[in-house]
Amino acid sequence: MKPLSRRQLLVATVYSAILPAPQILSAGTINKQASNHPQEILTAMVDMILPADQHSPAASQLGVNKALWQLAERNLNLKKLLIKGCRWLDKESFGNFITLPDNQKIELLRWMDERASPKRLPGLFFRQVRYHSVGLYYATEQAQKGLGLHQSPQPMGYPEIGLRDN
Amino acid sequence: MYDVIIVGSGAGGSAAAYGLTQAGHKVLLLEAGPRFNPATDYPLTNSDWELSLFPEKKGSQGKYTFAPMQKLEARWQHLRSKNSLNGYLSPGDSRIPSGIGYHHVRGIGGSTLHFTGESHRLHQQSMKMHSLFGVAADWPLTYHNLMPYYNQAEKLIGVAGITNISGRDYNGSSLLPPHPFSDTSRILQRGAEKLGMHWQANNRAALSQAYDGRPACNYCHNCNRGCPRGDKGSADVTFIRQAELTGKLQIKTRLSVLKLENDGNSKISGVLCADSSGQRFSFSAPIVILACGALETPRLLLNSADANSLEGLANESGQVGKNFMETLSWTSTGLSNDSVQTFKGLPADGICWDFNAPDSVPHIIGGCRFSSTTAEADLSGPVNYARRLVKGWGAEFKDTMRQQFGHAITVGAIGESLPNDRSFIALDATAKDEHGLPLARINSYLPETELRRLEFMAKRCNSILHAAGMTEVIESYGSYDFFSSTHVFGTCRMGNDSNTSVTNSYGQSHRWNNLYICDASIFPSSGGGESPSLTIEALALRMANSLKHLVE
Repeated sequence: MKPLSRRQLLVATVYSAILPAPQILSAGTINKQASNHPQEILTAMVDMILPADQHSPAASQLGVNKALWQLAERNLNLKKLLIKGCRWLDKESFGNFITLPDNQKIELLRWMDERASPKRLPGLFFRQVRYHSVGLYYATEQAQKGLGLHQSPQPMGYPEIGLRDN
Repeated sequence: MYDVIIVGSGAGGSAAAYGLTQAGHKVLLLEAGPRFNPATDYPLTNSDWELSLFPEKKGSQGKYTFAPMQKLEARWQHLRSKNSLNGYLSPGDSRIPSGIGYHHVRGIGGSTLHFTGESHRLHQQSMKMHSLFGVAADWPLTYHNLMPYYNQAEKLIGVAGITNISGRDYNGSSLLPPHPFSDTSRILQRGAEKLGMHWQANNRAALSQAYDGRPACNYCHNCNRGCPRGDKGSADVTFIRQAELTGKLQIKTRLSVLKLENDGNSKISGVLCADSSGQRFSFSAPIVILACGALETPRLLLNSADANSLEGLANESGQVGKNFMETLSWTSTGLSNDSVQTFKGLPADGICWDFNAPDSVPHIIGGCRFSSTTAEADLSGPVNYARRLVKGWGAEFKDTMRQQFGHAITVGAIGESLPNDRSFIALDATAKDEHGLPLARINSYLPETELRRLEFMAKRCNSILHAAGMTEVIESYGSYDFFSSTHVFGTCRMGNDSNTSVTNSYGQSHRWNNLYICDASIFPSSGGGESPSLTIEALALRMANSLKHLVE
């Protein structure tokens, strides 16, 4: 995935206004009191993308949410996208994505992943968050151990390969 | 003070420095980039190693521009790069550079610092492309002229491999034993052999046993991120290290050469340089050697134009910058159902030379080769699996990651790149470097013949994967829609005729007697997919041997 461009961000933001509404909005009332910080919303989102299981912790337990925000602090286009995307998520979640039941979070994220255009805000936002969060997650020792990978390439390498016969 | 000045410390400049200092000459080596410390600069011990490629340091990347490239056509749609997660990877309707496009390193050792380290000799027929096949130009020397220097370079580096390779004579060579196959090569060998192809050990600049004070490779699969152990035969730990041991080599880093000055007759009289602060220096020596690569060497010559050389220094033939040849490449990736761990082992450890001879691809002149390429496709760790290969998210995604990590198999092909009138290096009319000098501008065009060769390479890669048991190609990536070159050639072609070439067979300028070139810019043809570093080094050693007497 190439770095997010200003044009991508502009197109995505403009066209988000004319998107058909996700199915999840067919019922419920908006909680106008909710005003979550984007970092809190991102934390909930990355934990849906990379939940804890018996092999490895959830993304936020490995600091993926914080690392993602630090990345955005160095990339203005990404930061703008994350802020706008988090606002959109809250808006489309009866006003509060964080308190949404998990099954509804999944439904909303699935719509963003599978049905939203990658050129518009929800689709672009989801793809960027997924891309960065899976990368940051599997760059940690605990996530790698969850895959059965117990070392970095060096200093040990894999000398057993050298013992093979062709 | 110095007998020789060398500009650039990649494969050619390093080998020349080695040859000349061994002969007792005092050499000044000027390098625009920094020096890397293998033990501290290559972060392969950290858990987040996969988030970066070869490290960047200040000055370690050159600048250049691209002219707009060709439009993509519906009839070649099957050659567009794509991946099962993201679809087509090029966003528009024109060919574009992939990232920086020309993947290189500026620094002591040059691009050998990040190269895979394939150590190939050219197929003998690839040096006679014009006389045998009517394309490109002949080399002004034969394979057997070069053979002693191939032997010398391989011995110094500690190349591991085999000698029964078609189209080459290895008489007098002394290679280390070949490396055992990784899982990737074992699987690809199975597929290739089902198609009647021969899968062999690849000759590699990576030690299969301890040699010359360097340790054997430990198969970490990450040659392209820099080898922290020094077992990979990059120029810094081989030619440069040996040259420095003579006490005859002085190296100056982060010094850009701006211009070559001449005496108006037949000699280069000075080398004008600047450091990053803009402070200028001038050096002179009886011999000046350029080894800046096929972009920067012609750029320096063109930027050195003056009243005595209006069209650029050494450009009496008009060939400086012309005949630009790039890396024509393809990779296909699948997921194996076998119990494998393809993130272990030596990259590019297996190769098929069956289609390497210039007339071996049906109906197309110009050969190619196939090799294991999982590492070069950057599928050595879980980050790229998660980003590029494994769909979805949530608990199911994590389960799939556990099932599929270690199963990616990539086969790659690199093919002949023939020169054409629309592929050349020129000076950019507007873009300049920090010293106010025009940048090199890459003009690249792939004509029908190249696309047909690429199509053959793509189809054969896919066939190998299928024959090896993979039902789906999940990622394919090639030169049709992306300019992505690690090897570039031809922009100061050598030859016997001063009207059609820039240098003679020793890399000596036809006009400027003390000016030499020893990089891939002097290649008259690219070869059929051979990696060029060993040939560059052999040419440099041959040139240095000839200069031994000239300096005296």
